[in-house]
Amino acid sequence: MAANLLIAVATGYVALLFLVAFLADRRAAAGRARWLRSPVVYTLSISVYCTAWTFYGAVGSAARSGLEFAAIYTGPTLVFVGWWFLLRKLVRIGRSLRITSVADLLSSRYGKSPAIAVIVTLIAVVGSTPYIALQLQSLTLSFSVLAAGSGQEWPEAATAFWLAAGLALFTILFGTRNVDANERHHGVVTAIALEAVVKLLALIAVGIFAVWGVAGGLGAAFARADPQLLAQGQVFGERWVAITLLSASAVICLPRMFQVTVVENVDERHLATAAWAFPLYLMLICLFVLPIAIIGRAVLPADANPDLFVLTLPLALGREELALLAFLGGFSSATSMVIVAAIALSTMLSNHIIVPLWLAGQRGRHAAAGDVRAMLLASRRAGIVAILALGYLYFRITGGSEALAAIGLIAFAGAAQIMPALLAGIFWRGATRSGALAGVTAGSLIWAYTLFLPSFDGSFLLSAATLADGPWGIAALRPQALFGLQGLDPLVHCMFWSLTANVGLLATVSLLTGQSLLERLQAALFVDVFRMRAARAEPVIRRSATSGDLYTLSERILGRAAARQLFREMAAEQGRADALPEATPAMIERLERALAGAVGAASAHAMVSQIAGGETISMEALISIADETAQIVDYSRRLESKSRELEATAAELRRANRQLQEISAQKDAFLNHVSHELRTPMTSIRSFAEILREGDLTAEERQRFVTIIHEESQRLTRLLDEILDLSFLESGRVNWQLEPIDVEAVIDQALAATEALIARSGMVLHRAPRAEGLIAMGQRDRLAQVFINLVSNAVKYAQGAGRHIAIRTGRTATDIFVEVADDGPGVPPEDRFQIFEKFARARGQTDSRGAGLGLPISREIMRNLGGDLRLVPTRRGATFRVTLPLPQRAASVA
Amino acid sequence: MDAPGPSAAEPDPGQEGLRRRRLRDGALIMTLAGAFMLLPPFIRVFAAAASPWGIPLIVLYLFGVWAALILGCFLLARRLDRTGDEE
Repeated sequence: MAANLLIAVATGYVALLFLVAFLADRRAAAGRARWLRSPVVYTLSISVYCTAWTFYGAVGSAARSGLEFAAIYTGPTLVFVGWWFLLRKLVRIGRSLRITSVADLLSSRYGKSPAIAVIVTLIAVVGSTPYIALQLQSLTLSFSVLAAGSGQEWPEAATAFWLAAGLALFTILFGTRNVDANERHHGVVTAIALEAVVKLLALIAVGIFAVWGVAGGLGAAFARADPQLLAQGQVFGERWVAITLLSASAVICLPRMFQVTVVENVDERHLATAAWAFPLYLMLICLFVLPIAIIGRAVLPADANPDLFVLTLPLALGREELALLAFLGGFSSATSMVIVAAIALSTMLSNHIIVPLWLAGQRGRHAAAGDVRAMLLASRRAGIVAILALGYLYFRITGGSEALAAIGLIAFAGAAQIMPALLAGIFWRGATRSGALAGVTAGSLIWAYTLFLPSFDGSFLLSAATLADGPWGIAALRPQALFGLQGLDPLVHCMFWSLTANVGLLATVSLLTGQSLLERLQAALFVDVFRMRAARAEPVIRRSATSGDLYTLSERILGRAAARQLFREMAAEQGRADALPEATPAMIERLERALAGAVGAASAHAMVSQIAGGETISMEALISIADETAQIVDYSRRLESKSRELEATAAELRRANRQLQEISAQKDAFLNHVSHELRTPMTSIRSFAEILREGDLTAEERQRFVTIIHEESQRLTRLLDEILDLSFLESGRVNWQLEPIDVEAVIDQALAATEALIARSGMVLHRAPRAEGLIAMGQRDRLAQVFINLVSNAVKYAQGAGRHIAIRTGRTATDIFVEVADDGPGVPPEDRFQIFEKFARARGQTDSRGAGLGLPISREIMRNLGGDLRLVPTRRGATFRVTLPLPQRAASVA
Repeated sequence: MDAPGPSAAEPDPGQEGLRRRRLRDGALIMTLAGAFMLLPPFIRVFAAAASPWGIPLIVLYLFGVWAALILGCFLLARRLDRTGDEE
């Protein structure tokens, strides 16, 4: 392919990227960036995980060792599938504490410690430099492969140089417009998302071509596989586990991954989409890797570099346009990684190394002196240039000889050293700064000694002799067989020793050392980030500062407009419209967070402390506030449960109150009835007594009146007796001695008492045949009272209309029953529900003899005997059924 | 005021809490099961020489588990996202 065409295509593509980034930035600045903030763009930007190492290296790895490459993508899949437990917390912490990088995260968690930030930054730079070199290498390789056909000599070094320069320019233009690293880089993210689409499409296109264009189907493709390649058993060994673990931690800890996943996250909810969409992206990327590798090996000459199959396969088969697409895919993968890594690393370098050095140089002078903002931007840009220069130098020095995949895993293993401190930081309050420092330092040193330095094959720091025999000939210290642990894959060996030392020291030192107060506070903020929302940790450090100085500082860091905006907001919150806000602890805390978004927690803390007077931090206040936070959380929880309890109690009380009101209403009604019932006989007694007192009556008149008075007072007495009886029965204080009684005999007794009444009414009594052995536990007289009441009721209400009264007895499985039926008018349906109520005499019935208490009393008696009295629904007349439990049941009731 | 109890408009908080906890437990178990299925020794069961439809069994298995995890996560994520904050 002609070199000029290649350059034109690459330049055109780059121009497109610049344009996209520029437009996205402009739209975002105009506030019209809705679609830029979609979860899809977020997911696509996370796919910066797939670098040139994936695009070219995965096929290379698959051609060498089969499925092993897949572990690099299943590890992240597991992390994202479990997003709820780790990523969500990280993103929440990152957003609420305005974390700018993974180094900033650890530094902030461990008491805003500058030392940790420096170490993590160093590891990141050391680990990323070869990785960036790898991208440059794959870019230049792809250029020379494509241009090889044209016969021109391709200048590799110059290509790499101009690529690095171009990438630096892009990153500076779109990555350092603003100092606030927390302000998202919309332009960069959008360009990355576009590149993500291009690389996926390119790889799938090459895959489809290989499978259906060359092999003629999936089955046919796999049929051409070298049987050795797919002898799978040994792939799934220690190395598979180690790679899964490494890639799972890399997807969080690699500076560029942390940048896109946590720092550039604009909305926490996007994570819910990325949780499944990113694994889907990874799976699609991996789908055709194995077929391409197999067909590449089958079709291409044996000495072809498998790392370039994606390019050389379409080229060898004369599909230049496909090769060009593949080239753009590789270009996209490489450039996107370099851009994001450069932004992330330059932020770390500037925040954790350059700014602290500059602050130290300013000691004695006022911290706000000098234009911090310009210094920050300059340091970021210098950082970007330095990182790309390092990558370029590394590429030139090592000469790009190694297999691509090895470098990737080495970088992963370096990043994994951050993982223990990170996990402990967000899940374990007790992890201390010293523990984290010891763990990360030891882990990284072992990583460098056992994996990173040996990867130079004796050309850098460790000589070949040292590699083979150990330093000074001490065999126990051989880098790839530490303490005599031999026979392990070097990657597994490094992982084992470095993580053992890392985790072991982190845990032990954390247990042995204490936490500073600031650390304890930060630990609480991190571990309990989800509980802090209600009772947000209010600050913290009581300091003295003039808001004027603070304003000057933030103006110089954030820029005039942003600082003015921030201070105006803070003043408005304090209710001071046209003045600077007061330098309250809350205000200082908020300011520190805003500054942390620009320069990292440790530097922001140092700057604000310099102005606000760090020495006046009241340690007691800090303790009490750290405790306060815990207390507030605890208290609000208790309040919540209390208020639930109170609600339940209130509902209970309302119910009870309603019942009481009903009872009270019943009582009023009852009293009404009673006074009414008492009043009638009293009135007649009084009037007849008055007539008697006036004299001049005949003897028989007098006799008649006295008789009436006598009858009325008897009625009164009966009424009072019944009321007393009923209230006694209802009181629940009944304590009868129950005895076995023959129910038929009791009926005899009742019928004897009512014989005259029945005879007078002219009704006929029918008695069913006596049942034998109807023995129940009861009270003879009380039961008789009930039967008498029922029979006399039947006579009273059926008289005239009906002619018969029937009594029937029997038993069921559990009860003895007695039914008293008449063929009178019956109880009207609308009255059925209330005939057992007090004073509810059947409607329209005048009754000179009872007050309507007979049925209620009878029912109370039966219930006190463990039985019941009910009205049985019938078509004609009224039938009352009395039930009594059979003796064995009665015993349990009594 | 009505006695407290479930009603159509306002789901019973107890039930709601249980549902949320089940969702979270489900997410955790799915993640652990995914790790179990993608790591040795279990994955070696499928590293057999069989090749249904001409495709090696292990390839089918790996991508099958992968797709299942993605689907499960897709189904759970949207519901989980609505459940709010507590851990």
